[in-house]
Amino acid sequence: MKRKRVSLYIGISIIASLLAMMVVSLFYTPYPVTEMNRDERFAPPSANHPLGTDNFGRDVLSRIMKGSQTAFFVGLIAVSVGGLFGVLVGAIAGYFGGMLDEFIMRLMDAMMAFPGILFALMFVSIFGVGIRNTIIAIGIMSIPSFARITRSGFIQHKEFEYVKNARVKGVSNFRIMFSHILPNVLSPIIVAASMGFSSAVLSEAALSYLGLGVQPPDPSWGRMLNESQVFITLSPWYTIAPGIFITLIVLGFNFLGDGIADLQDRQQ
Amino acid sequence: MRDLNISFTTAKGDFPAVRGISFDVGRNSIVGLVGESGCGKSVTALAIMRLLPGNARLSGTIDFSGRNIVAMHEEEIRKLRGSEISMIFQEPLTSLNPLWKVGRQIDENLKMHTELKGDDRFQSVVDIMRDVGLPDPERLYHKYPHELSGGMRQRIAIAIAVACRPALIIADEPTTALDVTIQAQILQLLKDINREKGSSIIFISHNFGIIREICTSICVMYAGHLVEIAPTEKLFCEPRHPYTIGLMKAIPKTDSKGKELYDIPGKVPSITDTLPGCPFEPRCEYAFERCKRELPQFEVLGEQHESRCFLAGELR
Repeated sequence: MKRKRVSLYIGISIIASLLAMMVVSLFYTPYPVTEMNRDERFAPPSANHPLGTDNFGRDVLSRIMKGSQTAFFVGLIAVSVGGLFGVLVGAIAGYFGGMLDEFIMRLMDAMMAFPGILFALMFVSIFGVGIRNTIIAIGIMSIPSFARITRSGFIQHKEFEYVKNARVKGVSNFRIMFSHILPNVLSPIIVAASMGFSSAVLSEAALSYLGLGVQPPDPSWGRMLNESQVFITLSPWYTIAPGIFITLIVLGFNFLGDGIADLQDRQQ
Repeated sequence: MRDLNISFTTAKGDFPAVRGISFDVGRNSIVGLVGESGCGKSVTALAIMRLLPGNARLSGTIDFSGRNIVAMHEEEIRKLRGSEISMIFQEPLTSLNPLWKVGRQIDENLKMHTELKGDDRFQSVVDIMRDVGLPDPERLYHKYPHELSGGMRQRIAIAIAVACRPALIIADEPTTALDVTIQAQILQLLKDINREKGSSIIFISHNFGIIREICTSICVMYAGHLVEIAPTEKLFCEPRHPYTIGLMKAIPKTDSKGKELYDIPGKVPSITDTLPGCPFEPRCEYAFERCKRELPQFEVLGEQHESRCFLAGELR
């Protein structure tokens, strides 16, 4: 059944490459990101500038590399925040059940019914634009899916004998939830995290494209899309590059998530 | 335990699961709780640990060394669990956390209830594992449940239960899921623990053979009621309740070969049927008019032998 591992390998390769690019960009980019060069504006891809230059003569590759930092950073923090709260809320709902569960799940349903992007737009309109609020908005958007997955895992596991055994030992509810049950429920949560990451990157790109996300001088692939669209006939590579990279990172995390899910299926 | 009543409150009303149970478990004794599925034996055991679901209502008293378990707060009973009263379940496959090393699962008990630290604790766990008959405990400590056989997993469960030398161990059908040869070993282990560590045991089962093998006295339950209590041999030689007699007759013996097996006619009432009189009356061959109307009280028949039947003194 080697076929099933393909997703995993593709995902890992893509993400590893992008991650490598990001790490490199922390120390080195071919050209300084803000260096403008009037003579080389709109230059097509060449040996000097593998991805060409933009309207200010800035090297597109360097900007793409820098942009990857934002993509990973926003993705990581947003998913961590959303994941932390989502898992907490889902664990409580699943473990304790009853009215608490009902209340929490209706709340989650309400959150899921609201289109994510709309919520993010509302959030930044009220609280202001910028990277911090972008992360918070995206984080909040991702809470419901973590909550659901965690809750269903907890509902399943709390009936298992090992949980009864732990209670019979006198273990507190808190410890049972987080030391005993949670490690057993981790697998689907990790898959959700991977998918959540790609959602987060997409959302950030959309917000930044609209000018409401990451602000200059912080780099962002989404904002590059916006800046470049006017010049699409003059330097198509300036538009294509961020588009390709956004697609790559989203695909990468989706393949990764699929691959891990397949692994778990086979373990069952 | 005196007059323990347990009922479950549901949307459709209150259902009595256990009614008026009274029995004693003395030091060093092994008391068997026998009965068919659904008679309330597991519910009684869970009541002692106060592990019943939220919709259960308890009344009566469970006196544990002077303290009433029924009246305790959650915090108080939690201190008792695992240290003074512990429980072993039926299914060894799922009763251990699959992601924790088996040693750690025993260790957790000691960590919570004793002051032992680090190496001392590890050594204690290893000693306990050796006591329950596990080979090479230092290495076994680091293994995961799926690497062990059913018998070994049950020994781990027993190790967890005896780690703090509890005064009472409740064993809910601990050998039902094991092969016969392993069954015998586990029963012997429990007997040894009872003798050497002084833990009393409440042994729940529906298998009379095992009960006879290990218990010092037996409580027979039917439909939530306790119908007969007797020391083991007395129960087998002189059963004094129609239900017990029926059960004894139903046990296949070597000379039943070729003959039709005896079966108590009728079936166990569901929890929703609440009869005013004796619960066994519909199936009882000795039943008479009074049995339908009135629930019999306990008739004392001798040394620790009681039966809940109007005819207790006269039955064969």
